[in-house]
Amino acid sequence: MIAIFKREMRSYFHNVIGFVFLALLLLAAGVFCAIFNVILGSADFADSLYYLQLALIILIPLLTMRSMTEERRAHTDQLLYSLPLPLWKIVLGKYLAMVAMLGIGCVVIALFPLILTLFGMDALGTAYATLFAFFLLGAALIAFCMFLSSLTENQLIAMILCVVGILVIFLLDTFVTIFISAGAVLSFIVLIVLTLLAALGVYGLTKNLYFSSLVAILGVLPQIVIFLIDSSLYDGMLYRAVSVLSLFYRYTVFGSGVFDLTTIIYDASFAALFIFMTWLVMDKRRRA
Amino acid sequence: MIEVKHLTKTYGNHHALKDISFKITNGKIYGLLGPNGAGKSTTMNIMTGCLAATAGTVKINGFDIYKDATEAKRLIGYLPEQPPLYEDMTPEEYLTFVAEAKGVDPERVARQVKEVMEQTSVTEMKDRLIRNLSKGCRQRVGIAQALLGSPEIIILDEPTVGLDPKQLVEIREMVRKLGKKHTVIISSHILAEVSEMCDELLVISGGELIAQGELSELEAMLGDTDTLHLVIRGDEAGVLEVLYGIVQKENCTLRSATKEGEVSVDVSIPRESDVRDRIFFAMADRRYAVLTMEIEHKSLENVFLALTDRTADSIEPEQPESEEEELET
Repeated sequence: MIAIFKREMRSYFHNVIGFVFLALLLLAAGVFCAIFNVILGSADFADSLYYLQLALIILIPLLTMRSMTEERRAHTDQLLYSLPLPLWKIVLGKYLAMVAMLGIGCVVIALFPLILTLFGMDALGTAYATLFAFFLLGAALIAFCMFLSSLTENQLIAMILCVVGILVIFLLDTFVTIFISAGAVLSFIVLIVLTLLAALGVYGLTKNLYFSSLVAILGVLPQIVIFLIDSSLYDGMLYRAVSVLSLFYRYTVFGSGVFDLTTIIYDASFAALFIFMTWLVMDKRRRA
Repeated sequence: MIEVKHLTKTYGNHHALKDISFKITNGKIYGLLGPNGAGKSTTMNIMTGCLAATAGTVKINGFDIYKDATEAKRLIGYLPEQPPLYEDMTPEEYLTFVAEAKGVDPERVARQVKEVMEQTSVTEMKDRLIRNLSKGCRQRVGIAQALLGSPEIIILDEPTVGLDPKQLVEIREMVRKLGKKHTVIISSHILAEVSEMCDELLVISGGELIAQGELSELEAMLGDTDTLHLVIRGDEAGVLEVLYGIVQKENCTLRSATKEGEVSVDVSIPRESDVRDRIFFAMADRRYAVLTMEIEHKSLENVFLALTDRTADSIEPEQPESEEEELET
């Protein structure tokens, strides 16, 4: 796994992509910091980081678009498959290299609050907690985009898929208020449809009818039982579900100065789920 | 030793491999021979764990390639048809990465990389980017990669495709050298190549293993007869009467003559007997002119064509890959 990690890191700096990613990340951080903390005089670095998350919509796809597609294009995936290494170590090695790239950017950004203390900023704790949440958000999105880019061998398609994917997650937050008024029946129907779509996705990845049927049954049956027992529980359920599952919404919690453990656990679970799904895709390709 | 049992691979309705079984014993060079799309790459990909079989098992020294993948893969060095090279690395960086990924002892990585580079004559280009190397050099880097980790078995999928004659000779020479230390399996659709390099052949066609054995054994499969092509000017009845006086009627096949007044016949004759003198003088006695008299010795090419022709009707492209070269026999 360390060998894969080292190769990926070397690849980022052999190609222009690693430098472009870091340059754009630091440029965006610098611009937002200059606007909010220097020009507008905000004493809270979290304000800059709040807007920096917008940059991730482009930066994360830029970082991940090559990770899997290039292996297939150059036929180096055959080398990876023939190595005496479990597939999960290969996926994890690649993932950790991308997270390390983001980490390098975050380490440099961590200097910004220190500089700002010279101008009178004193909320270092909030600043670093938010930066940590920003890193976690990025790490979760990297896993999500790594999975999307494993579905294709075309870098451009991977990039588009990832941008659209992150935008959907991001906009889900923006439109979350629409679901506040969603009644019990609408919430129930939408959640059932989403569960079935998830089961369909599992079938697409595994081609295992029994496993995906199990996911569908275990997902749908309890919901039907709950709905039949007390349908009022589904009042506003959609809004709550989207809020709970939202990556960006959770990120803002840190910005308000709360060190939220559930966010850490949620982001880590989100990343683990998509790392696992990337492994599934790679394993399935070998079985195709 | 590699033990392949009842290997089957299907892509939808297409059967790329149909119940293939064979054994590979240590210390020999094996040639996997077959026309394009016969199932060679599929077989090799399954044997190396790059592809899962629909049914059947592959065991490397007793380790199952799926269940005991790590142990089994340690015993194999594989060069796929397209060398799996990272073009943004130099050969030395690339080989160091592969050695580390194969779990070579960190203290031995540098030494082993140096050894395989010397073995494959890559040393002089070790600091150039792989993307700037010629096809032959890339192939050598690919072979060097397969040698890392000192595997017992080296599997090379069409290692000579697209090389110029000089590079061809170099790679063949290298394979022969490798055969002294490792068990080598190479695939090719070029008969001359495998017959020159390999101790034993496995002939695959239409996803089926149709023959396995040493060259002499395969040649023996054709029997010990040659074919005598004759073109004689004269009336057909008279010519055949003379001919049937020398050889048996059932060994003669009348072909359509190219010109009127000529008789064209193929005669099957035992290899050790030469009846050409007798036919010549007998025809001359009757004033029939022998225009053509040529013996066709059955060779390995005939073996290959005869074996693969049997299954040719069922041959379809094995995978969506570009195998464009014509069958060179």
